[in-house]
Amino acid sequence: MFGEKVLDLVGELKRARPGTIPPYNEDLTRQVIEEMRVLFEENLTDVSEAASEKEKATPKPELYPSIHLRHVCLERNQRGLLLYNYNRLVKLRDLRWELGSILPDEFRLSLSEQEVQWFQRYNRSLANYMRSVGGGVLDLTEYTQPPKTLHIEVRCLEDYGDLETDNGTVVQLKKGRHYYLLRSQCEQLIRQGILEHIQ
Amino acid sequence: MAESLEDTMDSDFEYRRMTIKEVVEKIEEAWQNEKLSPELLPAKPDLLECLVEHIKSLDESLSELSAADLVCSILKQELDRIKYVVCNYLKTRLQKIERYVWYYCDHPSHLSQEETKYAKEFASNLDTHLKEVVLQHLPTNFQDINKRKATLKPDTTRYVFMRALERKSNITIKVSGYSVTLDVEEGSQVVLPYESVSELVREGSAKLL
Repeated sequence: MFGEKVLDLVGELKRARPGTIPPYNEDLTRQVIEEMRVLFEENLTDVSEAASEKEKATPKPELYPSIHLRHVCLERNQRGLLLYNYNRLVKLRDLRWELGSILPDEFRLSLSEQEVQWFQRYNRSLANYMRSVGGGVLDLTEYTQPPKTLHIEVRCLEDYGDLETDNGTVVQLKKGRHYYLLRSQCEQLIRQGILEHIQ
Repeated sequence: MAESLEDTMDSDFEYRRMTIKEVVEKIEEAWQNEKLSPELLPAKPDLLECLVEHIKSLDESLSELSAADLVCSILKQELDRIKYVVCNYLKTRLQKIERYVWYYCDHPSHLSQEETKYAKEFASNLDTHLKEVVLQHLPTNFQDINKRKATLKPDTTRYVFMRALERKSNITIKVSGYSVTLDVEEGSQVVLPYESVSELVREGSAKLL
């Protein structure tokens, strides 16, 4: 049935776990576009037939319903494709705020080439905005939680190596150990899953 | 720098005469309203500029103190909190701009200069992307987006909790075809559709809860 493929496409994205991006489904996208091409060509023939018959005095009003049906399917397919692509960008945007400007490989592999380009352009305009508004002192992505205390207790989940703190001392982060660190310094590492905040 | 800024704008001057405590209260109020209102509220570039300067000066005075100093950790905590509020305020605004990007490109009156630029970039970035991946591959009649249909608008009919900061009479409320007027006393709290109180929130005579 018409429109079913595009529903699959949108459903696939909807079912994905939050915080992840499923691989770009180029195959299905192409099938939807092909379906649209076929529908559109059928409509072109029918429309020219329904319209050009006038002079021969045999108009074909019986063609109108099928033309209309195909048109609605075309609109639905277009809408579905836009929805799929737009919502992938929304997910990608959320990842930018969560994980920073460099995407881990696991996400990068799921993206299409154009999405990688979009991501770079998005990064650039966000960075420009932050520079122009904050004079270099504000990083809007820095605070995900209200800062209740200056230092927090964290558990290290994997061997990370040396972390240089603001005042110049070096802390060696080792798996399984607990540390008491400045919140501003470990927030990035917490989001990357290297440290875990102990409440 | 301070002198050159002082005579730029009246409201700028106003923020400059306030104490830091008052400025922080102002941004907290703006932040709370921004978080709770469905639409974007007017930008406050002067207030922000004032806060960014304050953050810079706090940063400077921190670098002169030794880390073991008690004052240092208190100041740091203070700095962290102010930065959090400012960042979250700006972030909330950006989220609204991104979500309703086509709408705010057409109605940029509440956006700051930087936000307008950002919105335009975001919109063109989005248009380019959708064109590349979808629209240019479609049959000729389907290569444009019907923006009139597709544009998301902020839902201003949503109900909000509001506290009146001063006495207001004759607020017109329109609910499903009916129109009622209402007087609110100072300090009274009401639940109303946002569109009927948006004017009060913008002029600062009410705040959202």
